[in-house]
Amino acid sequence: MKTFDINNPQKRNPFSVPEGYFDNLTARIMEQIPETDVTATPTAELKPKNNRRWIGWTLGVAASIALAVFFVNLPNLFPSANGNQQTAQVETSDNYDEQYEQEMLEYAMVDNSDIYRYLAGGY
Amino acid sequence: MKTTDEQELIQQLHDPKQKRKAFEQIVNAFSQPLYWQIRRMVAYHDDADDVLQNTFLKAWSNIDTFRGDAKLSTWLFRIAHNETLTFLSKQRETISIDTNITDDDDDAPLTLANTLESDPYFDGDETEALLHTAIAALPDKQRAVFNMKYFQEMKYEDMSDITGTSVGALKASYHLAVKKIEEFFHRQE
Repeated sequence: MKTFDINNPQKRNPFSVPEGYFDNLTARIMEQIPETDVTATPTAELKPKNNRRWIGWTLGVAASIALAVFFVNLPNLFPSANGNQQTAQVETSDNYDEQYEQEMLEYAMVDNSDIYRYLAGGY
Repeated sequence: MKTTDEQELIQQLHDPKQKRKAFEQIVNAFSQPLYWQIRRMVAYHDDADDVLQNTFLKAWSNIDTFRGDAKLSTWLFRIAHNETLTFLSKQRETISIDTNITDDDDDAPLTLANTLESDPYFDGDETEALLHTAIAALPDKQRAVFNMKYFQEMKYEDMSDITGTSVGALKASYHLAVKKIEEFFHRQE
């Protein structure tokens, strides 16, 4: 009768390997390993870096334009006592500038997430 | 492998000039234990040899991502474990297509046991052949757990790092595997 006792300490490995298998195993495995392409690594690293630089510059220009637009319209944004006519002008100007700003960002292919990442120092 | 040796090896792996030589040392140090872990799962030498080659190829292609957060041995055993499970899954698909054997076919492990006995690289006695037949009948992941605990006497914590399964689940899986093997032996009486 064959029984299985989990607590039996005698555990023999019934598997074997062809003679000399382990003797040249390392050499055989290393033959399969491709050579390291030393020149490939820097090129691969440069690409995302260039890309990031381009996005960084674009965001910088976009941010400058937005700031310029903001300062040009600063007096209009806080009218002190110029009446309704002035307020109407501010609204028109704001709409125009907002539209212009959106177009600029669109041409630069910059979306909000890029701006958030840029402001967070992700570039 | 000592921790200091391992740290030195990891440093060399990140130096392009020393990388290949360091990897060769890793292959030399770990090929045998990895082979036996794989062999107990796939049963046949040729299959174990193929999976071992794939394991090292995968390790080489991902070596730059290894930062030494885990032990080198754990990382390698994990790759071997995953490669083995992938191999067994593909093998099962092929066998199912070729012979129409389904996962719940009771004759499947016995078919494997018969071919195992005729394998020139299996020299176990009758009880050992039965034990390995019973092990072969276990689901792949449960078989891996049983082999690691029973034959390799690995700690549950290390097994958890390799398999990505909790210690509690591993303990339950091991006890279930033992129960199934004991029942298998009872059925042979």
